[in-house]
Amino acid sequence: MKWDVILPILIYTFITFIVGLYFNKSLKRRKKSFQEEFFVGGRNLGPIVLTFTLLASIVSAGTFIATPGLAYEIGFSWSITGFTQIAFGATLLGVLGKKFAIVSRRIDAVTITDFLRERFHSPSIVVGGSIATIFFLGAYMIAQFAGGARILEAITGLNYQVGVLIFGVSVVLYTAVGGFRAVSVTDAIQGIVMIIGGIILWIMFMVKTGGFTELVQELIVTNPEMVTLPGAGDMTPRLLFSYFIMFGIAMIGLPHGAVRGMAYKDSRTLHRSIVYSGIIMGLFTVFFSILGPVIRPLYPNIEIGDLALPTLILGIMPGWLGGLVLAAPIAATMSTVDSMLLSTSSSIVKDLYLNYINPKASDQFITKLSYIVTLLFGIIVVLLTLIPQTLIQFIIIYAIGGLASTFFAPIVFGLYWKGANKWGGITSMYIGLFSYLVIEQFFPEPFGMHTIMFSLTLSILSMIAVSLVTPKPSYETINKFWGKA
Amino acid sequence: MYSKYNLEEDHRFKQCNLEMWVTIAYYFINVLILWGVPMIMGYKKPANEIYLTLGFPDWFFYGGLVGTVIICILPFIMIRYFFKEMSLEPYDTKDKEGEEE
Repeated sequence: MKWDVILPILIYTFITFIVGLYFNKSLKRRKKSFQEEFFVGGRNLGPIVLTFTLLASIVSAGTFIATPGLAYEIGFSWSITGFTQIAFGATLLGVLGKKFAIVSRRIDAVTITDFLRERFHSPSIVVGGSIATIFFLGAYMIAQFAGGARILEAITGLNYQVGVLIFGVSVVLYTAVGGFRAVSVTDAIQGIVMIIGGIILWIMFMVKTGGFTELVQELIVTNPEMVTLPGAGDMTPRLLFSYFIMFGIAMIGLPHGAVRGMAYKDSRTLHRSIVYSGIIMGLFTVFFSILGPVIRPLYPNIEIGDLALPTLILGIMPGWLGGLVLAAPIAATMSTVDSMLLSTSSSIVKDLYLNYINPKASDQFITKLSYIVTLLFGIIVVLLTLIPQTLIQFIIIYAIGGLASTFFAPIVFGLYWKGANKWGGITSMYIGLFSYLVIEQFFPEPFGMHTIMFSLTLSILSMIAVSLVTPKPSYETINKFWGKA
Repeated sequence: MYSKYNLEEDHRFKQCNLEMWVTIAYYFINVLILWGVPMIMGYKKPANEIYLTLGFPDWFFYGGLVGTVIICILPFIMIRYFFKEMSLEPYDTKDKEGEEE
């Protein structure tokens, strides 16, 4: 086992864990209700933390490991798919915008389902939305943990199960104990670690290798297709375009991302965060994905693409420094999982238990229940991850597509279109979800585009068509979402 | 069409709608640059015709890297000229005309 590499990663995990636990005190000293503090941090995030927690919830080990890995195999045409997410943070914040922040304060929403419930007044939306959240985010978390532990095992020799336990237990504990504020602040720390990791990596890369010009010229000789578009893979204009739809805008439908649009302090925070989001997402993406193709001339014989970047890191720097840089993908995994864990537990406690099982539960009981559900659900996910997983990348893309198709139209149309009504909401949600599952299963990638193009289009069209032919929403609803008082 | 609600709207939401459309425009500009430029410059161009700019294939350099710089600068302009600061309180007590609740 490579202790010099693993030690910095473990120390880093431990520090995050301690910082996360510390935020239990802000839960105890809260001024607002427990739910508001635990699930949206008292709606009090500033620009830096908002930016990092939003981006870190979305950026996972995929950005640091899988994208460079595929770019190692396919070439620059795959690096450019990583770039589809750069504008995402700014797009999410701008599209949901202040309207989302104001409305969620009006209706005391702390989850996406809260918002949909008040807007559409339909149990099938609340139940369907919660179940989709729990199912897809649960699967997503398993894939994340598994991906992180698998990489760690390959690089350092740390046993897969031991890795899952160490990272799983620390993430689950600090999320359950510290709630949203712990998640956001640790996300910010993790985001800074990702940037520092990227900078160290680039400095060492420039010092130890001949730089891009030399490496790319070598690449043109050995693997000429890797500098071309579509490249060694099959990156058609249509496929790349559908990635822009999926990773650039449709991911607004991801509940653990969208909920961050409820959590910031004031409009200045939003403005600054929109500006920071582009820059920081740009740094994350460019730093790592661009290195994929040029690892090829340096290490031509890596068999698994995912190991390309770790191989480079350990090849050009001493083990302890490599460990610091490799903390970046681990940080990305942890910061994604903690947000998702909180979103699922809020779905269970708020959306299902409080709405349908026991609406009269006391605040004290809800407090206890939130801790316990977060802990238990987290533990279940960790235990499931102990069973070795295959198909990791498949699960991730599947879950993103499923959630985006389910939630995008109801959230965005519900927020901005007065005509969107209950039946439009229900059909767009279920058509989005089921068309995604069916098309993905039986006709994957129709016309060379990602399935989400079709499920999202169907979902939006059914929202408009059904809303137009069924009765308009009630005055009370519209007044609550648009009215002056 | 929805005048039947006879609703007095919160004046902040007009500005919110504008900001939403500006963001959508930003999103499409981002797609046009990051997707369009590489496709126009490099799609199906054989490797021996690809020039290198600062070590990168030129379609990647201009579309990907210069494009990224542009879409990182655009939000500054967006915020400066289109976005307005406002209260996020559930109901704005200070109305445009200065009415008091």
